[in-house]
Amino acid sequence: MINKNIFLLIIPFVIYGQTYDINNKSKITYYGYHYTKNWDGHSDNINGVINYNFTDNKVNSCSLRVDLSTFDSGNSNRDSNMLTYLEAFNYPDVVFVSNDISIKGENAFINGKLSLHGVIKEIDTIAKLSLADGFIASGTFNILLSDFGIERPALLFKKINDEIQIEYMIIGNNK
Amino acid sequence: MKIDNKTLLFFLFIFQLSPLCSQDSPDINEKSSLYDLPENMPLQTKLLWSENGLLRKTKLFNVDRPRELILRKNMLQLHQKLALGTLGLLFAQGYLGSKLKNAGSNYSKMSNNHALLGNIAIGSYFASAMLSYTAPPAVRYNKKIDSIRIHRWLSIIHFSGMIALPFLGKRVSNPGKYNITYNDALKLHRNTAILTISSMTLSALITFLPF
Repeated sequence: MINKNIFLLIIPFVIYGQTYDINNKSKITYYGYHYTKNWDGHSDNINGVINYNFTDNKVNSCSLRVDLSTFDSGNSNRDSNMLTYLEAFNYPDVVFVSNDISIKGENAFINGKLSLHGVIKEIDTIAKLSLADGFIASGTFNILLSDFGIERPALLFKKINDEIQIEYMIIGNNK
Repeated sequence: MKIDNKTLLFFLFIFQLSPLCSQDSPDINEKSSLYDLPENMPLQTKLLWSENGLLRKTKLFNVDRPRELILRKNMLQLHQKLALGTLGLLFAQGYLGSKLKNAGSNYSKMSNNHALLGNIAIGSYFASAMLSYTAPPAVRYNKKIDSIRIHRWLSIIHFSGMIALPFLGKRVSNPGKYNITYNDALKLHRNTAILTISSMTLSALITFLPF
């Protein structure tokens, strides 16, 4: 009886919904700024799932997690410093979770919660969406390090900019 | 135990080569624990901070990566400030040195100032260098060439130059003792100083590259 009920609960999701695993071609890049130079670091080590209901164009939810130690800026010294300032030993991951995603045309309007450095902040971002070949969502949003209680490193007596741009390209495979 | 100059130079040579001897790093995508020591440390870091390194054997530092990375960050920040101060002192030294050549009656006073400033610059330089060379290991070391690796390679030139400059300065102030002409001694001292300051300036500038 219980098994039958579970089956009935799953049926609508099987018919109308789709769950995607994050493909390893997905990439998250951060852009940092200082008056002497700009730089970026990226990670393609993204774990998570996307639940998408294609009958009424609503993505039910998405949940993404990235291990901070997988970000590579091409400079091991800078990466080590980044992990120290992010206190990666206490907060090893950055996590984004959203249950509020609506789609208009090719755009997905995403409202979610970003957890970084032990602080959770609400984030709004508009992603360009493509469902032609699996699931591809890409876009950018900005965060302030001060919002997450992150101390800013300094170079030549001046701290890096508070604002960091995050660029994402999330590719999903059918589960 | 008396260490002769050849032995000292040999150890300095080995120490200076160490930035070149770091092993290849693992693939960057390979997930490594933050708590592990990197296996591809530069030689001087390995000698001090590997599991069998001097600081571990003497029980001065047990492996404690969170603490070590904070210490590393602080040491390298101080290294950066001291190095910039040293560079400023070296430019002042260069200016004083160039004035010395045409100094008249105040040669002795200017020469003393040049030597004094030189000692301060050398003290500041080696304090800064030691902060960098003895800092705990980074989380990882990339296989590809990055600005910090070039920064380390250039340090071979300016570190050697900073060792040589005081000796070459002595030859300028007393060329007869070293069986060399004043002009030859001055030329060697000046060229070494230019090479040292240039490589140090380049070393500082290169850290501003985005890679």
